[in-house]
Amino acid sequence: MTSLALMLPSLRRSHHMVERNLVVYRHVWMVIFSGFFEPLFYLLGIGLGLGGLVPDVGGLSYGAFIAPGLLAASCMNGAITDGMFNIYFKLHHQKTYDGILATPMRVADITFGEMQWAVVRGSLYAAAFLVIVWLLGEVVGPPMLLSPWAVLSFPAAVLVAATFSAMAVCVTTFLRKVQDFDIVIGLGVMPMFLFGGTFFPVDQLPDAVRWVVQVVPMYHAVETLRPLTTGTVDGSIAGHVAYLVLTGTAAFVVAMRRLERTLVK
Amino acid sequence: MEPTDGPLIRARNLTKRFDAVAAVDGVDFDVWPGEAFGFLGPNGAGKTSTMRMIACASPVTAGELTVIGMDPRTEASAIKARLGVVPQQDNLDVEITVEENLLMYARYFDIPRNVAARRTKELLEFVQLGERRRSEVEPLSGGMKRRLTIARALINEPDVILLDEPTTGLDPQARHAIWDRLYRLKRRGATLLLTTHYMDEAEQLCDRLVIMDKGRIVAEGSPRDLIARYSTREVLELRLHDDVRAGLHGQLDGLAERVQELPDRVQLYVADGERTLEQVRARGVPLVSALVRRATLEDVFLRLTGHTLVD
Ligand SMILES: Nc1ncnc2c1ncn2[C@@H]1O[C@H](COP(=O)(O)OP(=O)(O)OP(=O)(O)O)[C@@H](O)[C@H]1O
Ligand SMILES: [Mg+2]
Repeated sequence: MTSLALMLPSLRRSHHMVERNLVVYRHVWMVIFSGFFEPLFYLLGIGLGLGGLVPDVGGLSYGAFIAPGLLAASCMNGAITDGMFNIYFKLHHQKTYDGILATPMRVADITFGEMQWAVVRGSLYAAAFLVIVWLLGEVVGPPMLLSPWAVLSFPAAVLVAATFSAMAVCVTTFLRKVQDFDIVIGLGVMPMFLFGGTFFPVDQLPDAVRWVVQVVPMYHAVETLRPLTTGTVDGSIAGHVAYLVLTGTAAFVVAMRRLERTLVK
Repeated sequence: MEPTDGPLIRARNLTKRFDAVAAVDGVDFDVWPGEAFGFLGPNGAGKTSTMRMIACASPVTAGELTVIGMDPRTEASAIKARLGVVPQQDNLDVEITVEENLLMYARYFDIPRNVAARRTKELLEFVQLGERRRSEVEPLSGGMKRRLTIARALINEPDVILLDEPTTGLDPQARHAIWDRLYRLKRRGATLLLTTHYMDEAEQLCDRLVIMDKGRIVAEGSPRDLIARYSTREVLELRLHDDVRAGLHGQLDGLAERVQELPDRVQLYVADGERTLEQVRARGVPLVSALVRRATLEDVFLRLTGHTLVD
């Protein structure tokens, strides 16, 4: 592929990929649910269960503190399921993309379509999670969405889902065998989940570690979502949003180029 | 852009290199509308590499390639819109059903849903999979998967159908079922491009073929032409005990146009096999067995490359 125009995805063609995934998930709709329950169980178990033993965090109830963190984690997990596991198997085992590439579809269309699907799915989780968090807060208490800014946490979650999806696809292009997943999950995903600001503020961490945490996407995802749900928005959110947009776009471009090299030889 | 006359596919000095390996080493060929054109060659001959370049699935390293009047480098999507591809390894979508495989494939070609639904129904009947339309792909037999892949390749009513080893690995019955579908396509005037390492498949299906070996084309013509050009009409196959064979000392000289020594037999290329067999017997050569048969493309291949097609 030489010219830029040939590299750019077509919106129309990319939608065929979304349609394909809808057809697949018609058969396995239970799988969709499972991704939604995970953050909910965390919220109930840790936020409400453990939360009873934890004093307020910076003036917030523990539930209100971790709800936005779990929202970010839910976006990340969805991205890993769709962007990593599913794409890896379609790429290396099922050869699904080789079949699709015999049609007018191009690698750019496929990558963009898969991304859109991951974002759609992530957005569904985010919306459902936000509604439940709101209801739980209102009915059982204490409230977990503390400000009208919380409405914006939905589009923010869509952005977070998009960034994580692009990164997941990008990482997947580097994986060569199934065992490589363990490395990514064990050394990348789990630490981000635990130390990225989901369960406790990152300023609890030693300086050196905090520096590392502040580079990873999870931290910026949480720092984008938490001010919105708790109503503590200030100018710093722009920096976090910019981080998500830029790293997401970069990851997408790298993913597309690497997939092109893997699929077209 | 639209060629009214002239070849549908034109290759000149077409080359594909993978690092140091020249998978396709400067080949020339033309495929004309309505013909069944074959690439016959052993493993590693470069058949798949050639097909993949035509299908715009693999970039051309050097040389010229025109497919339906277009350049694969710049018009890949437009070319692919008009090709039907049956790859060497089935790559059906295993996460959706038989019927959905065709419906979804139609979508990738931007075929409207109602047209897609109609063609899906017709094609599933054509490849005798109508009753399995709601089945998953995995439980289908090898032959059924191959037929489904063929149906999928026809969903866009292609101008050219590329089939890479359409029957390799199938049992004889499944092969015949596929050949039968391909004959029907031929009768409807389809242009078929197929690779095979079975000479019987090439003889049955191809109007014209090229014989490939080690990335090069070693001969081109219709199966009958090639046999006439590179072989005699009949072949006498002799099996001999090793010690007899070692002690022949020219006892077979002058009997045949050409004698080919193979590990398990000696082949004599002659016009009349029965007569030659009598002559061999008259010379008192003790035989384990003898067989007279018509010459095939296998003999052409052996003559041209010095080795057998299927090892
Ligand atoms: N992706 C690749 N990377 C490196 N070398 C390759 C690649 N694909 C093919 N080759 C090499 O190119 C040569 C031709 O391979 P090709 O698959 O085109 O042969 P073929 O005629 O289709 O063989 P077969 O009958 O086994 O399918 C072989 O030496 C093969 O190892
Ligand atoms: Mg091959």
